Amino acid sequence: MKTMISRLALAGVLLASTAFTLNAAQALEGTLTVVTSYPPDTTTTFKNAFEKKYPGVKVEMLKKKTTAGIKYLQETASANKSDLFWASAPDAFEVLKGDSLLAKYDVKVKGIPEKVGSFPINDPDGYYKGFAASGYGIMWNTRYLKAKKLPVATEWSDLKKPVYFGHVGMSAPSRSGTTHLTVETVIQGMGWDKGWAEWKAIAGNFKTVTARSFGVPDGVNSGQFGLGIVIDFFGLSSKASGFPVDFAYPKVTTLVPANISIVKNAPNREAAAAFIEFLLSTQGQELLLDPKIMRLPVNPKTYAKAPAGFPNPFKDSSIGSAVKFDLGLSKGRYNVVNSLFDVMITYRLNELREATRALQEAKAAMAGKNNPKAAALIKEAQALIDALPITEAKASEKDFASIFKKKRKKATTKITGRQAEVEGEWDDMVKANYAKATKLANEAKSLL
Amino acid sequence: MNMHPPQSSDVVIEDLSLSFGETEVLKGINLHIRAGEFFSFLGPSGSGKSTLLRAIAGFGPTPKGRILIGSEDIAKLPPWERNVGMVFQSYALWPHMSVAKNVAFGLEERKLPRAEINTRVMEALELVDMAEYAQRRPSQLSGGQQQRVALARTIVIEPRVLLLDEPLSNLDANLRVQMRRDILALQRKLGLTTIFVTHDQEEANTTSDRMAVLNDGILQQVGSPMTLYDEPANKFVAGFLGTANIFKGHVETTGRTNMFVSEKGTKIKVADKGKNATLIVFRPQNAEILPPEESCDKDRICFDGKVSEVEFLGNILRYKVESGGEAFLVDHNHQPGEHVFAVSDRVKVELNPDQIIFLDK
Amino acid sequence: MSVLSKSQRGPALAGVLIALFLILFLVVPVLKVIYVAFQDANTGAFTIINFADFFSSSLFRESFYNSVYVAGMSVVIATLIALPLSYFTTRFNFSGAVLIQTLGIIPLIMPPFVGAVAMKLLFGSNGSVNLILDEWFGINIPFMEGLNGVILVQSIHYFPFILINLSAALNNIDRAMEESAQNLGSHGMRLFRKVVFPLAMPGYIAGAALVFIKVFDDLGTPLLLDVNKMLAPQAYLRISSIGISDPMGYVISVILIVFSLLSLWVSLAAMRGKDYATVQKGGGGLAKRDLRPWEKFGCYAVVIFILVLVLSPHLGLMLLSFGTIWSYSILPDAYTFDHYIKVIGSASQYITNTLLYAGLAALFDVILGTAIAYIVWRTKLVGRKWLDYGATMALAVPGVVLGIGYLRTFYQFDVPLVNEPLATWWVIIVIALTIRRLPYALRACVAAIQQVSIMLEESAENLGATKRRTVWRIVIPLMSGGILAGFITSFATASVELSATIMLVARESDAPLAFGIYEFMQSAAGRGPGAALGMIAVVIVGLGTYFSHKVIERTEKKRSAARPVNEEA
Repeated sequence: MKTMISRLALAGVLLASTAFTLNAAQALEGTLTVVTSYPPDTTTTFKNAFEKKYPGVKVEMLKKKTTAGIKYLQETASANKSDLFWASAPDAFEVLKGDSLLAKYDVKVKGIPEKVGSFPINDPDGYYKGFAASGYGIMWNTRYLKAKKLPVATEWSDLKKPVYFGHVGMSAPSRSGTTHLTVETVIQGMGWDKGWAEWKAIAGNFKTVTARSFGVPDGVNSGQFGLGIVIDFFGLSSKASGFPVDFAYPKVTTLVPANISIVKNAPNREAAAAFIEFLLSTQGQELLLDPKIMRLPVNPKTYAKAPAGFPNPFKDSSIGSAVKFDLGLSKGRYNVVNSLFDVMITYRLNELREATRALQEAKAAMAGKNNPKAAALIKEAQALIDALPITEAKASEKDFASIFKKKRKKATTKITGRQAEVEGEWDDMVKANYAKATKLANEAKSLL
Repeated sequence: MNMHPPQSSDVVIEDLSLSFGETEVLKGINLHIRAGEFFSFLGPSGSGKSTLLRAIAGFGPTPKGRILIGSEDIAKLPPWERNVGMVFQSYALWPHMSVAKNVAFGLEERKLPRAEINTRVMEALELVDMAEYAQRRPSQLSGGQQQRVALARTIVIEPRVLLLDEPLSNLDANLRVQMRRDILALQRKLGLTTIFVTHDQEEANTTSDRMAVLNDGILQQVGSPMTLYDEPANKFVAGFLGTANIFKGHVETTGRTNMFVSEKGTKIKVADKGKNATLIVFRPQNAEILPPEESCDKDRICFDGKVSEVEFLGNILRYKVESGGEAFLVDHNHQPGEHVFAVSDRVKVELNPDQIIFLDK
Repeated sequence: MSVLSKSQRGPALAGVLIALFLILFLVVPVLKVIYVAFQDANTGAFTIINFADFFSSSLFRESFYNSVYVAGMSVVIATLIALPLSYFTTRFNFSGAVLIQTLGIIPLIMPPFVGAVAMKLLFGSNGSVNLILDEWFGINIPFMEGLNGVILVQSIHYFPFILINLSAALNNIDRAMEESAQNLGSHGMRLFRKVVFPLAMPGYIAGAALVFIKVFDDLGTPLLLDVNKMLAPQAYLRISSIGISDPMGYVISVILIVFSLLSLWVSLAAMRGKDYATVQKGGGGLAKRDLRPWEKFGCYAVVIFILVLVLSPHLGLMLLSFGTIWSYSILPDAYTFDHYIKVIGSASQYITNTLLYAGLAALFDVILGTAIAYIVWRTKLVGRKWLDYGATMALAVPGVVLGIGYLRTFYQFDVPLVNEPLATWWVIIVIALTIRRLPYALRACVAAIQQVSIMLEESAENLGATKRRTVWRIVIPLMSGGILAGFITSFATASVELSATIMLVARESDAPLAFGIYEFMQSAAGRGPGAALGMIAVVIVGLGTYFSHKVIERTEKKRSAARPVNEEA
């Protein structure tokens, strides 16, 4: 009712305004519905600026978590009411593109480079456009580190160190598209087995795996844990909001564009296009430097206005260029990687922490001593923790990956095995391995 | 019956006063109840009779004064240390326990051995004829049966005194008569000092050795039922126990003649013992109604009057007669075929002066 | 069906309409969601293999165990909180009684996830309390670690359900029940354990079952505390993961519903034939007595301790809303009004939406509740009990399941005139809230109609009033206290609901307060403003509840003054 009245009123205002203005830009009208994963700080800033520029358009920001946003667009596709999908993770856009839920669009704004770091800014197929870059890094609470007398960690490998036991937080890749990218980046950079071993060594120091990606900066900001693996703008905006925190990019990171795309059959395509152009315009790019937002603009010129110390990936080539990210590889095993992470880390965190602690203590006791028997036990325990239920080849196997697929394409598609069944098998193995590793490590320690 | 005869004791109440906030509900009660006696507290609603009983049990505000059982002052003891058994008006059987569990409760609280508890519970239930219902729930019993269980539950702890708070008021008329006989029989059998609270004088009269009439928190009179009826101490007792005709007035003495003059002007000659009376009382059955033409005996008091109401009560006819501004009731034993006076008939009423009760308050 | 008598026709029509409403907005959406659980993910054929997978997975078995453990422990802790409070108020002349009764509603008017945020800052491993403990004694107590945190937050949030039910039950006990036990030598804790508490058991079980179900089904709190290994979070995480159609999420939903129904059934079975309070004549509650000085001290100590604990989420939220930066410190660094100034603009829309949705939902709830109560207790319609069961069953449906079900069922259906799918129209939020809170309102209405003597209705009919006039002029006015109580409970709890609405809010301008707070809380700079919005929500809902209470009290007083005294001898 309320909406109807406001809409009627709006229509009246619009009629009046169009009657007196001939400016084409001003003639845009109606409601622009944006499905977005961004917090109100970001959305409100852009909404206000855009509405000021186009007074005829009313922007409706529909806040959904990335995953829920995909779900929403999928469920509502038959009678679509959304104009734009605006979120970070490129793979979320890939999923929607795969389901033919996005529309192509050619950007008119000039001056945006091809790549940021080693990642292409725009979708090569022309569906979604990058408007800002972000990369994963480490964020820490300075008061926390000081109180607990912990050093600052700037590389992923730092986080494996025993001093950080119980002080690190991260969100699950299955919950956050950008976290997934980080996990995948490290795996691609170090190789399947070493990459996973690295993650498990870091995860052994986790205090928690949060269910929401914002749970990590929230935990660091409030001091629930000292260090968090977060996307840059969470760290930068927290710092800008006054929290005693800081942020750094490790060498191995992927700068990925945060994206926007017009939804297929958008009810207000003109306004949607105008919003994309606005986002990429000088004014739009500068808004990204707002202390509450703090994202890396994709237009290199904007950095001239950035505060001192603000990272510039177009100048500092060390940011985000160490790994050549293989998007195809990532896409093929997307759900398998998420599921593996959940089974081995998220849902077995207590067991993994216990094994890690035991191993760390055994190693500490071992330092400087020569005890072949204990050394063998430690090696065996390490191998048990590192063991993976499947090989890299298996993870990318089409038939296998399709067990984790959303929908059967055709009724005739034959799939053997069910996700729950496969995960159950993995879980049994992982649980047994962690338990045995704990036992062996404790044995080793008792020998020393 | 193997019940151990309980250790009954005298109950002495000394100068007991009690207030609910500002309202004083018991005012200086003094009372001596003898061991083994069946004693009633009788009074109208709000007279304080239940409050007095509850004070003995230890419920309600702490009273001023003393309550002695034997030689022990229990007035300040908590209820659970008094060992006075009380049967509640609503029986208060716990619905979540079986009959046997209800009865066993007090013994369990006294931490008796299980075997002894079981024996005594069955004995108590047999005493009230409820042994076969031991495993039932209270909700499966009739009102009378619940009453018996409540009694068994109370006497099984062998209390020093048994307190009954209007225990018959929730029963229908026939059962009430039966129950009060059973309670009395039980009390006699156990020799248990029993205090019975009721507002029903028939109940009190038929059961009590002695009773106390209370009104407005003040003890009016103590005595056997017949004493109280025949020799009420004051106007309240006279009016509360049975039906009474009461004339207010004063006595004018001239020489050796005492003449009671009522406020309405009726004059009645009274004996010396009534010299100080301000009230004279007589019962309807002590007066006789006669046709107007008959003459009175000369040693009787005689009124001329007019019938204003006739009530047929079965065994008697009750006339209301107006005479010289006064109105009073006269009973006549009903015999079939006898003449019945009608309203407005002129009549003569004859009264034996020996049966007049003189009161000064 | 045989021809209905004329007086049955109205109720029959109402009954059919209510049944249709429940089927359309409760049964169908839920079935839409849970049928996936019985589908072979590969062939689409009917199967129960998914359930076999569930029980053969140790992760799910642990999640199941954790959910039962958390729900059970929350009942225990909530009992420990509620029991002394209800006992003190019903037993002693206690000047804190009013305070405690008010307390009974305050935790309910704050979204539990907001409470969780505040509790983390106060009781987390580096929260205020542990920082102090660490400084003074060098110890750290894991109040909020893992399942502990969920149990703590949930029991603090839901204990009022036990408090309210238990206090009512204690107040209905015939005083003679207690006195006769004292008379037979019992007192103190033994008396309470053997007589008083068993008599209050039905009320206690009703409250405890409600707490158990709410905690068992709740999603927001474990999710916010990063506890994944419980059933509701597992269901949610699996249903909402990117690009995955894992039937396990739906299997878990079915298990949640079945288990909740089971708990409901157990509590009903436990109470059957045990409604002691109403059987007994007299009533009047336990004898109240004055406290001795040292007892008074003890009581106040216990009450204040509980008070501080129960109000700590509110305290934490207030500090957060006025604090500038609060990070790894006992208290915020400095204080400011900025957060309030910032939200004041957007708050009015959230508030209007909340009042509109919760108000309408509560209104529909009491209308439906009154109608169902009347049909069940005053008519002989075939299947009338099923209306009661159906409406009560809504308790067992997790909000997320209902939300997803609505999206699935109503997205294809365009509302005429509005020209918008029903699933994204704001009215669907009202309907979801109506369904979710109907059980609360229904219980209040049923209790109210049971207290209306049927003789009062018969005398109205005897004087020539038709059934309909009798309902209007006698039944509803006499039920008004209970109806209002139902309205308040539905309104207050609907105002802070998030789990169903989070799925259904289609645009920002339709968002209610809880949703707004949740959104704000998702960014570093939004924590303070989110807390400020939370405080505004608490104050508004609190005031609304308080004034409705006043209205109830006034009508009750009027009623009891008009009631002839006929019970006391």
